[in-house]
Amino acid sequence: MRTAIYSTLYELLRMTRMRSVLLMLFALPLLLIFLLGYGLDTTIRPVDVTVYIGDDGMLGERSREFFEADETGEHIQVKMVSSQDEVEKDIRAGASDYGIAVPADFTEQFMAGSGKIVTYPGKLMERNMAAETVLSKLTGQFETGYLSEAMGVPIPEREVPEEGYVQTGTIVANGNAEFGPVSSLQYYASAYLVMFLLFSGMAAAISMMEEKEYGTLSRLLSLPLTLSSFLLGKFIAYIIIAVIQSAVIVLFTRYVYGVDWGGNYGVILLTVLLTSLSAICLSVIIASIVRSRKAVESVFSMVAVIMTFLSGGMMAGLGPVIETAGRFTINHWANELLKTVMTGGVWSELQQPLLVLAAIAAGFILLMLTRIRKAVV
Amino acid sequence: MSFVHFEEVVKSYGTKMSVNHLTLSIREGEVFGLLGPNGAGKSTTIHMLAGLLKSDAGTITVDGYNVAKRPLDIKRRIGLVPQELAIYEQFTARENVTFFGRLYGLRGKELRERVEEALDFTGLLEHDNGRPSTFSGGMKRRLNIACAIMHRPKLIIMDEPTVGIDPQSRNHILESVRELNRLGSTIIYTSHYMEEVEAISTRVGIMDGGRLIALGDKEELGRLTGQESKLILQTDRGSEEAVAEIRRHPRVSSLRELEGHTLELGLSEAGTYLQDILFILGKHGLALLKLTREEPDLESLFLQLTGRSLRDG
Repeated sequence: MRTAIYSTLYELLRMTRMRSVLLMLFALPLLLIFLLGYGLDTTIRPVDVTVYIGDDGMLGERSREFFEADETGEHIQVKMVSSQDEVEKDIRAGASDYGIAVPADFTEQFMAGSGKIVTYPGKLMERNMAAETVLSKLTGQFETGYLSEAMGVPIPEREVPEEGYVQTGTIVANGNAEFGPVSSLQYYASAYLVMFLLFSGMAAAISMMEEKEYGTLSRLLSLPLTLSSFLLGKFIAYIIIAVIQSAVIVLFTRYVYGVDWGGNYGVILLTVLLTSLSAICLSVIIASIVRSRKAVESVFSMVAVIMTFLSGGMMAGLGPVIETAGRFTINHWANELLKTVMTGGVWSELQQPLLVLAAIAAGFILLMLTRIRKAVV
Repeated sequence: MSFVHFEEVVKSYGTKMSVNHLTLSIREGEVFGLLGPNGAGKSTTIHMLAGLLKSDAGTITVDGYNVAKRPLDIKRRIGLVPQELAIYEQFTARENVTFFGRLYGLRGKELRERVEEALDFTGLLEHDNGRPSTFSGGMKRRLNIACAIMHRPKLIIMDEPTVGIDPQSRNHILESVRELNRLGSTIIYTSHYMEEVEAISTRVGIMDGGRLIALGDKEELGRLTGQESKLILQTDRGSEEAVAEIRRHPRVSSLRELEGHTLELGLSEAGTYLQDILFILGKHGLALLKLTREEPDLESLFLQLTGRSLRDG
């Protein structure tokens, strides 16, 4: 037991001295989550719109009601100002995405058939389009209201899609999109957490192979200890590293990127443990076949990247064939668990992926036990 | 008294017999040099002794314990200095020695004292917080030794401990080996450097093709191969009577007359001879100008036994 403890402690000490490895395990996943999560982010963010309403007439009043309504606030962030100059200033300074000014005599002019709302488009076309779509709803209301009044015929309001009509980004983010029920940030945070857990598992087999290649294994084998307890300690160290790595990724993405990981941290921990254990065992199994440090690094990296790809960790929505293949990967079941936790899934929804992931880990442990001697000696 | 004993030990890899029915005894307190070209079986022999490999047949005992039956008891008595630098580059010298000390079961004050002692013994105390990556080759080799001796083993196995280091570090290591031996450790030493083995070993075993082909101290090995010690005498003048009388001495197996009143005597057996020869010279009125003795060296012994030079492998 003491051998395992010393082995764990010294392996952790050794890891803390390897800055490049730490950088790869901790900084790289955060960077990738940031790049992919934001790059493919399709969540709707309100457009900042500066509004001046100078008109005290009926339409000015209706405009004020429109911009102050909660429904409008879901799509644009309204900042009311007291002059048209302030609108111009905000747009020039980039403090706002779009500017709207309802002139003082707008109601009168509109009734006379010439009234115009002054608009100030910003630098981003996508944001301008979003703001103009909202504005068109207001002007549409004016027109239908005016026409129905003039003709004495009631005209129904335009139908608005349930999830809203302002969408920005390259991919539509709703319940039917490639990312499933989670946002792109959640999706990639989960995918890259799992992928880097695989890589930290590989580090255990590499460390084991280094003992062999650098000659320390000869000394260890000549010591009054059982090699199994020494290796157990080493593997425990890498599980601890995986837990720390996950904690850093989860907390950082939660508080800095705003990723919602759900509240079930117990299941997240269990997912991390099972994934890390599977990865360590798989890397040892590979080490027992290829039997050199560099070969383990190459083969395992390839396996990890392929599994990540098949499980959709690099690109969402790859089609049914690849998705079916992805179901045979560690990543798929670990991601399923994490995404279910993120969306507040209940125990009955967590059971299946949890059992499958536990079965994968158990299978790899058994296989690893039959192969470990070949990997080491 | 036999401290390490191999009895009919066999180890094969596939069809190749790496160690072929090895029987060998090493006495307590001796420095035993194990020589052999690459592939001779000496590393396999050492690895079986240290518990890194299991023998296919035969028994190995250390201090009365059977290696196969009591591996942990034996491992506590052994310190292995592997040929590779079995140290961690990410740890300091002190952390390296402490780590292995803990794995040997040392704790607390005893551990701290032994680590201090091992670092001091190998001359690394001043560099205890340095990492091996900043050390010279010789310092790394010394750290390799420190990690193997901090538990004061009764048997130290050194597998090529001076490979690739400067002469100063080599001398330091050889002196350390002598000192460890003086402190009571039995030492098994393998090296490609014949002069090292010659300088420190009390006995030498020569392996080739998995077999022990010669065993003994240098004189015994010399006799075994028919090689003689030589005595070279230079006198002030020649004397045929004196030469004839010296030739008849029972220890002189051969005599060659060289230029400049010089005689080269082959000495075949143990026993006194120098007093007799000086007496003969004196009796014939010859003055001795120069006297040298040449022992058979291990390199030529090895060459004669195996038909190849040690470093050729």
